[in-house]
Amino acid sequence: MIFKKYEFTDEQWETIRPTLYSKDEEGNETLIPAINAVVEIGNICKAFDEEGECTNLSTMYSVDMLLNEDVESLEDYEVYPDPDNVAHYFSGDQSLYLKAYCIKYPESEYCVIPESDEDLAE
Amino acid sequence: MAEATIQLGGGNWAGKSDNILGYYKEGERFYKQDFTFSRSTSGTRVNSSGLIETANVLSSELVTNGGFDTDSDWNKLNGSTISGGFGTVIAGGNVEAGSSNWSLNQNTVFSANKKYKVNFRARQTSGSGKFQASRDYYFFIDEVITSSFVDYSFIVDSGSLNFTGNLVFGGRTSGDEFEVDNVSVKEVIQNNIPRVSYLNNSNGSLILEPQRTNLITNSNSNSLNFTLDNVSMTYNSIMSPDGETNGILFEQTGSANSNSAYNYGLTTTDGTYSYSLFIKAKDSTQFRFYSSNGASTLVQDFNPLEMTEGILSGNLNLKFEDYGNGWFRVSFTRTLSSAAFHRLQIYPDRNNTQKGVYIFGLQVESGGNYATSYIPTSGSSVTRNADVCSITDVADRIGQTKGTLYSKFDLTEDSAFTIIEINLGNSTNNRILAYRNASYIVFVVQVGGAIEINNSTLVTFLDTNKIAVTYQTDDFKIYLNGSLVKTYTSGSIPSGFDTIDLQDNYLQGRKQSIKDLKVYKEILTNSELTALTTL
Repeated sequence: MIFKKYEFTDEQWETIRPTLYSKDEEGNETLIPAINAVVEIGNICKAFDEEGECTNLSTMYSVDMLLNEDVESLEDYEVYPDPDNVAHYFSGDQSLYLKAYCIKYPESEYCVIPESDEDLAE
Repeated sequence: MAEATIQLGGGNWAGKSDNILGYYKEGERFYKQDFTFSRSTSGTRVNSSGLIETANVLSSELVTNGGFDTDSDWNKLNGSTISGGFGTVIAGGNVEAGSSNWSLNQNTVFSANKKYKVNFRARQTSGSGKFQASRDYYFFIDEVITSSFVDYSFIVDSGSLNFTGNLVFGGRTSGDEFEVDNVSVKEVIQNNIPRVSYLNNSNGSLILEPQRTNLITNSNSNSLNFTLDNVSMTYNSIMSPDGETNGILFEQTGSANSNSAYNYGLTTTDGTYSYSLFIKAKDSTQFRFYSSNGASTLVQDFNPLEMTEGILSGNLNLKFEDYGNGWFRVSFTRTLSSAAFHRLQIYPDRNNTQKGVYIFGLQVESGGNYATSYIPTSGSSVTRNADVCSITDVADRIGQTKGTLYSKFDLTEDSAFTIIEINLGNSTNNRILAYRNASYIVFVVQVGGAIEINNSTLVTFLDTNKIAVTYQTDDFKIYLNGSLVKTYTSGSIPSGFDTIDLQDNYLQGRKQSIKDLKVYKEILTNSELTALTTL
């Protein structure tokens, strides 16, 4: 299983969303085999005021997906927020995002395994 | 009565990753017939002790010689020893400072991207510095421990930090001595584990739920994403429905009956939202839910000291579910359409007497007009994926020209869901299906895509129901709760049944609660059908 995060403009998502599903004759949607689950997070709020109301709503539409295999047509829309600052994850699958992140950024501080005592010295 | 050729449930539940145990009986012997199950995330249920837990199974033991029966399998540094059935840990200093301080360790117990349950017992026999247990450089425990053995047990997620996988014991102060014993590490497998819920039900029921996301990013911490206005939330105040002491005391501290906790920043995306919160009475006699969908504001008060199972009529039609030990899950739904804002507010004491209640586990989920099982969150919104369950390649277990299908099921909040289905190749083209649609049983028979029967019967569903469907060409009967409710005298049936599908392809992602399911190759007699379906 692969956990990927994406951002789209509204127009991009309107175009791409139908390609992720197949439809039967009654219009019932089923995800294409490459995709296990889609969660449309929507426009993420990046800042709140004192009353808790959103003051900075992202203009990008966020979508998380669990993939059975990579989907090439989505690669241009992948985003990689820091692993300790993600807006959403799939229950019990937190580590899957870290795995995807570390494939993308293997040299990140989140991904480098200390190899010696010196690496850990303060 | 003939023996069922496949059974599921009936109080006999066993699950593992990707499977739930179906079975059949021949003579005095039982044979397994596993149903396949998937849900590519973890999910919670109410276990047989009545507590909410993440459904899981444990792997085999990953630690070798965790009882220290022999002087082997562990790396000993700084003078540490193994003798007398204990591991004696001689501290070499902070284990975080380097592997030379890993006084007693075992290599590569842990792997990346997994969860583990760690158990051991430990005591301090010399010195007063902190005892440390870790995976490599990352602590499980870094604290002063007693001179008497104490049992430790916790779950660790290996994926949140990077490490090479050693289980390590040590101590911060060089020369301190500790003893450890009964060391155990097992992988905790949570994904694709079927969930049998025992909520108010000692025999258990298999729950199948749709994909849902808890939008509250701190479901039981950080004020549950609320802003507090002259109210307080005191964490870890009482045992919660998950059995831990993590229930929150929610009290009025001000002097106005408007004192509340509020979240005015919920998402305004169109859709139907369900809100749920576990509440246990303390001394408040008037608790309030306030909900605004941007177009209308609704409030409903109730007395926590008088909570009972059921729906309390009012502006929000609050639903109360009894979780035991005084805890009730209280839920309601709202629909948003082009909302300018979306607000949720709770008041501990509208009587303005500085009283309160206990609360736990706030959940706001979109996508349906009922709350689903609790999805814990901590810092992010979290999605539980849909449950999927069926059994294929069992043509020899299904009557090909005639048979009886039986199910005992709960009437869930979902207005439509599969009751029972057999088909060919997990397809809708060749199937016999009975499903709920509001107050109707819809019965569908399709052969090669052509509809032989597609008819609805008005019935009275109870909270729990027993249904039996018999089938053969030109002869179909439906019994519900001890009565014959429908007969069909014409219609062909498909050939080649090989699948028992708990969720018809058109009814995926519906909430189901299945207590018992049986398939017979025979058509049971009318008296047998009556007896079988009588509650």
